[in-house]
Amino acid sequence: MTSRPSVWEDIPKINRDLLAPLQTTTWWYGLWVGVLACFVAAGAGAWTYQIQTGIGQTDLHHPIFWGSYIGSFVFWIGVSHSGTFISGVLRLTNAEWRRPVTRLAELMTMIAIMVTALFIFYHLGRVWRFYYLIPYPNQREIWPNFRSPLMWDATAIFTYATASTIYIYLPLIPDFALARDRVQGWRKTLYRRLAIGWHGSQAQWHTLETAIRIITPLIVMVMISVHSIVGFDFGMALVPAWHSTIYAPYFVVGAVHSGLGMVMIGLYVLRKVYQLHEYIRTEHFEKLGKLLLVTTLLLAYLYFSEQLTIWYGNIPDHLAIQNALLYGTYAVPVHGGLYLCRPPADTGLAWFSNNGHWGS
Amino acid sequence: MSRDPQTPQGYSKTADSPYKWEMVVDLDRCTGCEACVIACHAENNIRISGEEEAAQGRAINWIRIERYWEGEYPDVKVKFLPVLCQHCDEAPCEPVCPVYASYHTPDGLNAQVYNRCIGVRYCGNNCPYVARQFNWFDPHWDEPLAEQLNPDVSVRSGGVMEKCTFCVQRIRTGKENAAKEGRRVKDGEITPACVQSCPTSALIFGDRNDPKSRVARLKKSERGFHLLEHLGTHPSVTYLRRLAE
Repeated sequence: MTSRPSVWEDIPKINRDLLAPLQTTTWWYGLWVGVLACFVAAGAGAWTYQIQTGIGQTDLHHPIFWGSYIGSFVFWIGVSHSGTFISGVLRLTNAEWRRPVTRLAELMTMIAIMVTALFIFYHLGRVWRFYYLIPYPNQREIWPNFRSPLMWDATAIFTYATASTIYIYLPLIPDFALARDRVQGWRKTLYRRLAIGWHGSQAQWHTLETAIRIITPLIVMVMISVHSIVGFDFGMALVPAWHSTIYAPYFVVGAVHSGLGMVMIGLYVLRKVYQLHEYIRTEHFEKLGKLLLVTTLLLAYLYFSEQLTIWYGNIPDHLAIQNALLYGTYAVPVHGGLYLCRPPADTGLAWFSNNGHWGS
Repeated sequence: MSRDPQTPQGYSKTADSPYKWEMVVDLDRCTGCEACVIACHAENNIRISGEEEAAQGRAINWIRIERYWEGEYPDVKVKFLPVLCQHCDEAPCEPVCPVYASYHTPDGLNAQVYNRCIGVRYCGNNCPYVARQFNWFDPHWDEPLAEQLNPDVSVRSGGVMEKCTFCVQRIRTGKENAAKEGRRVKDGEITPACVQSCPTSALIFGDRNDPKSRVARLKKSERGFHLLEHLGTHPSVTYLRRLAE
């Protein structure tokens, strides 16, 4: 966008367009908030019921101790990687086209990581004792067990949540200042506090850019380590077919993949609802589509090598799991849902977006 | 940090205590009568699961009899294998617990601290013997069954992992009695409920550190083996093979 000659003249218009939703509230916005509040209430009710009656309501049973909560946990932390990948990696590689996509992706990171944290609590058998996981000084001098991959996991997620909050906040400072100058009432106070005295001087821009340059490579490293550690939850266990080194890279690639998909869907909705066709263009879907294609192919390769290693290794315990997955009880969901649908569907999505089908 | 797969080390803390509890299971003597299972339920306040819960795979047993069929009917043989917590010296369930609820006692027992457990269930995943049992719901006893609960054993609430303790309450009493008299625990003085009730004496319990104890001698038998030995968990339960017939 910066390469377009008319960019300086466009600035007032860009500000007007992008800040418009801050100044007007439509009736369907209220409706949508109401609908989502109903979902939250239903979820809170279900969770209360589970706490009152027992974790057995998950329908898990011996010897399957982890199920949909851990699955959802992995999915949401995956989605949270979109922001960091798109804005972090693309910032490092100076990919200028990323700009309109960045903010949405970063926001999605923060929201997704908050949802992720919820699943830790849903999963606990005695959630009212969750604070045993926190290293606080106590009379009995018991600390959490840092040998446990779950503890690494909790630490990693906390680090990632903190880092990504800083990461979204820093580039937001000038935008908070913009909003501060355009709204009234309590929001003006809020934005003034958030903008921490930003007035757009050369020195301030210089400091801000230095700060962003420092945090970007750091957060990319945190992102890769966080999802490796989520993979370790499984890879470190003795469970046949979990005990594998493939999980760390597998989960990182899978995370970036699902994150990209989520960002594309989010962008599409945002663009339609707020009429941002001028800013989020077909070009962006094309480029995201190419990235999606790359991660799809990587993921397909990892699906293949995961099974190949087990099959070739021929260890009976592992092979029993593989047989159940590929030929036995789980064959239909695995083949139908994962292998047959996922790579072709994702490749299709990539192709679709890459050919401008998302329209203008 | 290198770890020798042959000798237990690392976090094994057996040196702090004079005792090292061990069980021997003589498969040649086991008839699969399940008296041990019943005795264990009565001693350890194990929750009663109805037919429905059992069908859902949620029945809790600290000791179970695995059944293996060999041959075709009518020429069929059945073999029994009692399986309980193996109290591994290198227990896979211990390092994975984020709150130290799964803990190795100085006696070499793999203890589960119910009050500390928050129910993340990683230990259950990581136990290769499927010995760990989870309370998916709060326990319930129909009247008057609640009147016969063992006062020496805590009742576990919902959301907590539990498993065989080698009847730690009996071990504790035995050790206290011996300490009062200023001596070591004698061989055969402590018997877990399953050992006590086994009609064929297939289960033997004792102190491995005492070279004259029955378990120390039986452990050296040529018939001895451990379950899933290749995992390097160093179990405290030794099995004796069936004699050839």
